[in-house]
Amino acid sequence: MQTVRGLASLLFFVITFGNASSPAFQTLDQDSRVVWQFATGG
Amino acid sequence: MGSCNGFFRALRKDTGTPVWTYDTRQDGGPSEFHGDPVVTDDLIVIASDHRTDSGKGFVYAFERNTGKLRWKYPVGHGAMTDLLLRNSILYVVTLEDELLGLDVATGHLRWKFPSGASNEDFFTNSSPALSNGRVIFGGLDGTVYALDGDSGAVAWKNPLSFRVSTSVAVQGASGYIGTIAGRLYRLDLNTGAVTADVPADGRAEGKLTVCGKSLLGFLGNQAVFGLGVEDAKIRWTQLAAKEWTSARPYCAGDSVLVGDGDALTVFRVSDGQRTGMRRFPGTIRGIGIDKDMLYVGTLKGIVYAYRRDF
Repeated sequence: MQTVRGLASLLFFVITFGNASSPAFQTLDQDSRVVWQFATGG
Repeated sequence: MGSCNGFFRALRKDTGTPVWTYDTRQDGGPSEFHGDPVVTDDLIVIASDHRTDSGKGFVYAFERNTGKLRWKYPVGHGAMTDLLLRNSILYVVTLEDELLGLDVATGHLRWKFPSGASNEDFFTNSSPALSNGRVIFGGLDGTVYALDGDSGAVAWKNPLSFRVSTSVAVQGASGYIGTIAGRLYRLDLNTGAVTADVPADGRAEGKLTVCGKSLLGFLGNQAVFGLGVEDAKIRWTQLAAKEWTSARPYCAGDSVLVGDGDALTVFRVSDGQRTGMRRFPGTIRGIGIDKDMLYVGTLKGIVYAYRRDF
């Protein structure tokens, strides 16, 4: 098994985060290699 | 994807759109998530931890497509280790340094093995590994145990004298593990005998990663190393510009990816040559690797889906 296991249609991996604003989904245009970004809110 | 504000989420890989969310505050959290989950055809199983005197952690089994909670099992202050699955038994090491075997379908306890070590300081426990029907477990008591995966019976044990400071990594019939004494050991997983005793320029810490014919890991938070598994010699070390901040070195083909503050740094596995670097707006913590994509999480709480160019 790799770090990301059993990938099918969804992504599951574990990350720890610090503080951030409320959850949001948005597209980042500055770097074409960034497909999407997601704010976890924490 | 788990975050330190107590949420566990499933996102679509292609768009980042949330599919479902679980809030651990309903269980006395917010709790955190540090280990890798187990993914089955229908379940996502993950452990939480809450490292305060009164904190409680759980192993959660969510239905994969809906996020509906199938079961949860209380594990003291929680667990920070990767989960393992063999047949129908799920393995986890709790912060109390107990290796548990749980029925993955129901969450019922099959067996429990405590190392006997206390862990009031919440040291990170050693993530176990599977080998030939056994679970290899490095206890905070400094002993490596091989337990029968079905019964939990001890097949062998080997006291290494010092607290284990890394996960167990398996490559073939050998297992690798480090202690706070600054040594890495290779063990014969059939007998538990030490077949190599490798001095390191620092304390190996965190999760070891087997990547092809190399073993990757951290020495403190300043150095990452590559050890050749054929001769058990450290081939290379690389120092961080600031400090290594990712949860572990991540293997991606012939590359190793490591977070160095806001810099995602790429080394060649075979010789440690630096082959790339990308900066992200925030300290890099978690990295997920897919065929064409990287998923990079930062301590600012942002996850980036990044098209791989290395």
